[in-house]
Amino acid sequence: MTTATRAASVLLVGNPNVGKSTLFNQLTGARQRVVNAPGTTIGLAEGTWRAGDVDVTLVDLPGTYSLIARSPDEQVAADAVSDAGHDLAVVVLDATALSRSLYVLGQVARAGRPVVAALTMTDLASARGLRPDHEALTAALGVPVVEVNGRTGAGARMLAATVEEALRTRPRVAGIDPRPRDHELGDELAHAQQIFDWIERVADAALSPEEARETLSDRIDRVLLNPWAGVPVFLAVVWAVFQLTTAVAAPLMDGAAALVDGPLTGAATWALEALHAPAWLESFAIGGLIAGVGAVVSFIPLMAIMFASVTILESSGYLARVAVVADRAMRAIGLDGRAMLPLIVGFGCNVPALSATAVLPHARQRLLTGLMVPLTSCTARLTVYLLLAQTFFPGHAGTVVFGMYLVSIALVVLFGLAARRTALRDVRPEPLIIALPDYQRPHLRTLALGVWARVVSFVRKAGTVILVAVAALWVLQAIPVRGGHDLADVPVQDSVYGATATALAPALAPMGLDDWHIAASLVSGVAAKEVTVGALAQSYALEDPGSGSTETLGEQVRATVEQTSGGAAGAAGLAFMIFVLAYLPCMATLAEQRRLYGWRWTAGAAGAQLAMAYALATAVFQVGRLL
Amino acid sequence: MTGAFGAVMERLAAGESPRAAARALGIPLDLAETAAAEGERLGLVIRASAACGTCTPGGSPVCAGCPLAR
Repeated sequence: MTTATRAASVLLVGNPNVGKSTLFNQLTGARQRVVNAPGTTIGLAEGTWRAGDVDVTLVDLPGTYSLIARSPDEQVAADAVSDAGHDLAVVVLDATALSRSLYVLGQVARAGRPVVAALTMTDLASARGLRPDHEALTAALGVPVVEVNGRTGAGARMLAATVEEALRTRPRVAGIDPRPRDHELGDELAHAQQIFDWIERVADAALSPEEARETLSDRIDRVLLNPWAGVPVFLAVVWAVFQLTTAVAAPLMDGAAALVDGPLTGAATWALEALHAPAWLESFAIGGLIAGVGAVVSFIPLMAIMFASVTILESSGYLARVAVVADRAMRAIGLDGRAMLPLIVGFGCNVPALSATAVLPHARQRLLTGLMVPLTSCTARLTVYLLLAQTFFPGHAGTVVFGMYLVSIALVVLFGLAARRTALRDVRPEPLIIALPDYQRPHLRTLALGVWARVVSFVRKAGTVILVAVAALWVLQAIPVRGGHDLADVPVQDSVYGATATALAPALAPMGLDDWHIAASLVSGVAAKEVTVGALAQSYALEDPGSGSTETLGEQVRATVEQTSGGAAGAAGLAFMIFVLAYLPCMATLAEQRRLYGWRWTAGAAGAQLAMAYALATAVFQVGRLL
Repeated sequence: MTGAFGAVMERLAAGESPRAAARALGIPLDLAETAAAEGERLGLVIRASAACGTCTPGGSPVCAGCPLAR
């Protein structure tokens, strides 16, 4: 006697790497083909499988941890599950991570699909003491559960028989109400909560309680996330990083600067003279390019050490803890904890930090955070602090730079509080919920690659943005405005550049910085903060190109500030650093702010920042010179 | 938020890792990790690396020095 053959469409659903595709290959053998998922170019493996009397078309869906899709592959899986054209879903459950697999099973059940569960990885689960109780699991789920091994084929016949039976009986998961799929956040959240409660009940029934052991990460977190210890530890870590950076980098930077000022400048001069290059070209190459770019490039050793320190903190998992500690502090003063991630990014560079405000859900929160970002002290400003700290506070450079970062944090907080109490009163703070990773030992190769990528990027910027800025500055320095000089043969004080800077310099007198070199560097720094040091070097180099001065840039700046400050060089140096920290964002940041928030907010915030920086730097100098 | 999911969210908001939350709540680790991952999909949870992708060091010069860039 023969029986009538039926046809059915069955989906194979599960997390990635649970043996789903191995099982698919075992069941379908060579009877496979790849088809595009409906309306997409994503390939799906489809095969035929004989389940008793039924000719099954088995569809191997892309592995997913959830049917709330975040990628095109996951969307294909989600769409297929909600397609009523399929008769049954075989959900593959990983016995070593049952709860994770059950979440997808719960979502499939909620979509209204009849289900059979295929339990894989039972051998591994047994070895780890995690093997679920098969009978209890079957009873809790209310659908058939078949143990299978895709590699050996064990359980394949039982699965076929079970699927054949299930195509008739259409078993439904117990404890989950089928609901049509919707995309309202409130509904999805409610569904997620219901499924997690259901998983907890199933896990309680089918799994032995795990032994709750405290790990090393937990013990470290007890200290680092302690409300009283967390902030002091963080400050100590940052202080140590700056001490290390300045102490180790100082001789390397001196060496790099000596290389630029000595052999490199000498070789370029010799070559240009040998080629009988015109004076303007020699002036441009030596006084412009080499002086300007060389001053910035000499910071490469420092940047490499700094990047290595930050990469170690990041890859160890510590930086994420900083966000948690800072979140608590922010919430204590009524600011949104979730702003911490963009603000942390801001300490690297303000421009991507503005993009990173996208992690905040509300426009007003993004605006408030975006206005605070320029007060985070970016890496480019670090080059200025280091030059000035080593010049004015040679024995305590690391501590002074560390202090600048504290001032930056204080300004961010004060600006945020002021905005929350005035223009942005309606912003409501919400907590940062972050999934902290366990601590890890930094991987040496990853560390090296990370540092290399960042140094290359820094050099690339020095070689492009700074090069262009330095060339533009040189052009301004070559155009005479007084004294009857020829083009490109003009003392820099009589050029457009020098005359403009000289006109602006008196405005800096209250800070003890009434000098055209400094005024010019501050104006240039608005183009890009990295240009500040280059512009200073360029001004001094072009001022007296034939002098053959052996003074370093720091010594030249110190001599200038001694004069402008009336002997209170330390106070003026500190005021200089404070002003650089807060005065105006760079052009790229301003442009990004304008794009995101419009001219009104950008101009208002920049004006407020400039006024605040001016008042603060003046106060620092005026008080400092009395001490 | 209620139930197991809400309890995990509360623990994460208090600065605990999914592992510590699982231990404190007496639930399987992968349940806490799945709740954290689903919370992220729902926009409730931020991963430590959430800001990454706004820049890449190799792709954009302005990202040099970003402490979260990978």
